[in-house]
Amino acid sequence: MSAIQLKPDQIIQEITNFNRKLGEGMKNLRAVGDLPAGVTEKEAIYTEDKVTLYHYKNPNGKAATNKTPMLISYALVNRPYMTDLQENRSTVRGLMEQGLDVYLIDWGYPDRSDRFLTMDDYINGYLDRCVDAVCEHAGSEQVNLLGICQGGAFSLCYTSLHQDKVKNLVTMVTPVDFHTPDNMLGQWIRHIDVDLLVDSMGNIPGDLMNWTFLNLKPYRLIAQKYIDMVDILDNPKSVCNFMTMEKWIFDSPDQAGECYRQFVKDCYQDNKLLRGGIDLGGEIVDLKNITCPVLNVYALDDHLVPPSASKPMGKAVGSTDYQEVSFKGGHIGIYVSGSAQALVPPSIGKWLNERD
Amino acid sequence: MAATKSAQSSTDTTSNKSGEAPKEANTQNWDSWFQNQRAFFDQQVKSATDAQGQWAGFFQEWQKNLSPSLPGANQYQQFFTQAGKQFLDMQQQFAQWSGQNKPVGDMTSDWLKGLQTFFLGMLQTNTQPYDPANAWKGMTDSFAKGGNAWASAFNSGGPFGQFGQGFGGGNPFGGQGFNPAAWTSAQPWNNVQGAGSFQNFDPFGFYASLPGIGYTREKQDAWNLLYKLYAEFEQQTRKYNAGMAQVGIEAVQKFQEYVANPPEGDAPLTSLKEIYAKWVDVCEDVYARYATSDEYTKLYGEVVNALMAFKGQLNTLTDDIADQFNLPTRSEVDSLHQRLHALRRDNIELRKIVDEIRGVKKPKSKAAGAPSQAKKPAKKGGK
Repeated sequence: MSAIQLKPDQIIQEITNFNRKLGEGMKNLRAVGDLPAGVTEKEAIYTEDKVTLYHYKNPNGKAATNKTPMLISYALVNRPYMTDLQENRSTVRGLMEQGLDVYLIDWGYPDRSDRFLTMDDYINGYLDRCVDAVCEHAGSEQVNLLGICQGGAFSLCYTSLHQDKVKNLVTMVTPVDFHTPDNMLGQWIRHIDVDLLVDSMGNIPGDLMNWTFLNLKPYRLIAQKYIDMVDILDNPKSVCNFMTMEKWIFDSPDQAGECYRQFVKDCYQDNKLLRGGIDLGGEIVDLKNITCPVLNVYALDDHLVPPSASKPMGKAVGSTDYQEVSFKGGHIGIYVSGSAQALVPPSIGKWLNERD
Repeated sequence: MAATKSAQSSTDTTSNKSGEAPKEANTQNWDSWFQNQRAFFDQQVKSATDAQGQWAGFFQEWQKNLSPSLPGANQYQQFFTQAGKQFLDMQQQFAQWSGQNKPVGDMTSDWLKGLQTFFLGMLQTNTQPYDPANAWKGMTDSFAKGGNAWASAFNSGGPFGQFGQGFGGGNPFGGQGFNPAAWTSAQPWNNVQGAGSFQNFDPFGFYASLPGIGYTREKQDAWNLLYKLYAEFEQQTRKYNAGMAQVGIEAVQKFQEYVANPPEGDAPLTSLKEIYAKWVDVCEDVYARYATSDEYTKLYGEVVNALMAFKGQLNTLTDDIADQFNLPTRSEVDSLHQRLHALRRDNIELRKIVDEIRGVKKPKSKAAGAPSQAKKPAKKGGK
């Protein structure tokens, strides 16, 4: 059988359809307008420097049934509104539907005055004070901490050093072993002189981070994605969804230089989150100190944090109550796909409610 | 080439093996269809060109903004811009070839040849002997793209141009609006008999390798180092681009092999979109193998390190210029920020101790100097 079977009339038909969609697409693209950065009403209850701590209001007006407030710690490399992208694609809303009282840290956009913020400043400083603020606001002694991606790594470090303040720990797409063979980012960073990088750049530009991420699958992410985009251009709703996601993907804060330096050297180069030895303000992170229940949620097709990088958490933490939830999807799909919405927030809610 | 030829024969849709109409009838059908639809073809091709031109323009602009602003990265950018344009080019080519009654096997083969030519050109460009004039242009371009201050310093002969005069005529980086071509032609080696032997001679590198002398010795050394670091970055980038060109060439070969001998059970590709998707799959497979190899990861590190060394030296020189204009330098501002952060940390610790002494059980959730009320978060900007 021939590998390619084309007929001239099919070719013309395909091109005609492509052009029609392009024509309609230009109209729909222009109609997109302003895109929201999060859709659920929230109140800022604490700010410090560029960090803002938000408390979400349940759109249904229902009071939380889980007694322990949940604090979401997102990664520094992207904006946290990924967890609340659209009404029907909102992890935050999904969690509130499970009876959880949800708070979220927005790390803001660091500028050059933040260049010397360290991991210690973020974890023992901002994160710790946000935990205190949540406890004070909710009238609770502890929080349920939900860490996402790099924010998950931070949450592991935090819980290791402040176990008394964390009732339950949930991690999503969080790397623990940075040296697995399928971790492309981990391999790329090995030969980079991180000191030279940070000393030369100061803060690490978000655009540079994005360029690196795109190069994990460059043909698909830089080229094919926008060819495929034409398929949905004649559908205004799909165009809006696409552009909402596009906005989020490239809405990337710069990385505070010193924090980036330690994170990359300790985690990516020396694999210290797994091996031990991360020094935060004179205290050494040891994941065995984590004794609270831990739920680890990872995506099976994650090219940024492969499951092999996340699953070693089970043996690394000291908790005897460790569970995993795997999702058939990618690093981003875990927040936004319909199947993720149906699986992930309910799983987290059920697990937390059983331990309240 | 053998793979290409077999690809042509195996993708001919007139083959009876695919259960389609006999070749003769099929050809008549095509001829008739061609005659009747010629005008329609022309119109569609023109329409495709117009609409896709817009899309291609969008692509190029978007990718231009996305890519690093260093000239050494241009070819790398071009590589992926090409990858995006490939589908649009492919549509136009296939539409035109359809109008010419060209067999599908030939269309595929010609399309792949076009890709191969592009990647071979990219490989050749990045494996040619080092060209110092281009290196110079690349470096000054990087200044121009890096910000107006640098553009002014090196291209316009504006206020910063005066600064270079301190070097005198002996340093290629000095003077107003430096012109590398004029400078090169004025140099003494052009009068040496058999000057052809200097064909691959890098005059800038030659001067950059000389130690500085006299009152401006340190400044000369600083500029010389800048040139050396740029040359190193350019060399590493060329190696990197050559590697990416090899990825493209291998992907073309793999695709040709696929077309010639598709795996049993694979459904045929029945649209341009499916062909393109398959092409992307093949490229990603080849790239993923290369990108996780020791060769690539080492090269990647070398490119990034070379770029950062160059940028670091740029920073040093920028500070020097700012200092001469009585402006605060980056290193001075950094030093102040460092001291401020250290003070804040001390302040937070002291506040905790004061709270303990006062008998406050729980530390207040407020850093030293933090606002008492929530305020609107800062927006993106001022990176």
